[in-house]
Amino acid sequence: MNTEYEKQLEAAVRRELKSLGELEAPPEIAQRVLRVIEQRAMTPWYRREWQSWPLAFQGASLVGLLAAFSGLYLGGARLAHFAALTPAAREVSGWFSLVDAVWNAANVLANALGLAFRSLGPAVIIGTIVMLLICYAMCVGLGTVYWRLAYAPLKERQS
Amino acid sequence: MTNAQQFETFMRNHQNMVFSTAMRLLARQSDAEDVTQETFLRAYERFDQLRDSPTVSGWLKTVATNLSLNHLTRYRSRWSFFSELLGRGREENEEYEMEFPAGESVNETVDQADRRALVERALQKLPAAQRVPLVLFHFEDLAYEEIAAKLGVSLGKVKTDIFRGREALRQQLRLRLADEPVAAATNA
Repeated sequence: MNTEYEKQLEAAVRRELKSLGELEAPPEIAQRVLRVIEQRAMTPWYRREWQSWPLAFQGASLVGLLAAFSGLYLGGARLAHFAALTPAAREVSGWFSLVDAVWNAANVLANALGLAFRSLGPAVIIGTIVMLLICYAMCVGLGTVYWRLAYAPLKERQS
Repeated sequence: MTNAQQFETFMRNHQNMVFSTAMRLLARQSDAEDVTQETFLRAYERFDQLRDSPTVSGWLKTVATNLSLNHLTRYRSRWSFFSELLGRGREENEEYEMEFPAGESVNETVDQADRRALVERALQKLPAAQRVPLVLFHFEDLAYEEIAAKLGVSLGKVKTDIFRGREALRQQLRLRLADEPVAAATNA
C-alpha cells in the first residue's frame, strides 16, 4: 500500500465523515425509556434482578444461602450416622435411598450403552453420531436460510 | 421540575448523540434503538452522579459503544457462520445502488443534506468488519491499537479493514484525493 495515497485517502474520508452531523433519534425513544423505568419502578424488589435488591436484603439472602448450603452439607454428612436412631431420620434416609435408586438406574443405563458401544463397534457408533450432527447442522442451516429469506426483505425495506 | 422530567430533558439533550453512535456501529435502526434505550436505562441508575457531570457525554458514548459492540459480538457468534457461507460474496462485492448523474461531480450536483444522507448510507452498507473499526477510528477517535484491543483482533487486520472501508467509501462516493485530477475522479 502506498503511504502517500493512504494519507490522502484518510484525509478525504475524515473530511467527509466529519461533515456528518448527528443522526436524529426517533422521537418515541424517550417515551419508551420512561415507560420501562415506570414499569421497573412498579415491580416489587423481590421480583427484580438480585443486583438491584436493597443492600440489607442482598446481605440477608447471601447469609441465608450460605447457611442453607452449610446445613445441607453438614446434615447430609451426619444423616448416615443418625439414620438408625430416629424414625424421622430414617424417613429422610428413605428419600436419599430414592436418589440412590435413580443413581443406580443411571449407572445401569451407562453400562448398557458401554456394552452396545463395544458390541456394535466404534464405526457404527461414530457413523450414528456423525449422522446426528449432520441432521442437527441441516436443521440449523434450514433455520438460518429461512431466517435470512424472511428477514432480508424487511432489511431492504428498512434501508 | 421532577426527577422524571429532568431525566426526560437529559435524554432529549443526548439522545441524538447516543443514537448516532449506535446506529453507525450497528447499521440497523431497531438494534440502535434498543442500544439507545439500554444506555439511558443505565444512565438512569446513576442519574444523580451523571446529571451535573461534565463528562456525561463521554460516559454515554462509551456505554453506547460498548453495548453496540457487545450486540455485534452476540449477533455474530449466533449467525456469522451461515451468514458468511451465504452472504460473503454479496457483502464484499455488492454494488451499492447510488445514483449519480453521469459525468458530473457528486459534490457539484447534490446539496449538503443529500450528500450527508449518501455518506451515511454508504457507511451503513459497509460490511461490519470494515464499518466498525472505521467508525471507531473516525467518530470515536480511537487509535488503531485501541481498536484492535477493543475488537480483539490483530493490529494488521484493523489497518487492513479500515483501509478497505475507506477505499470502498472513496469508490462509492467518488471522493477526490488531494493530488487527483478532477476529470479522473469524475470518471472513476
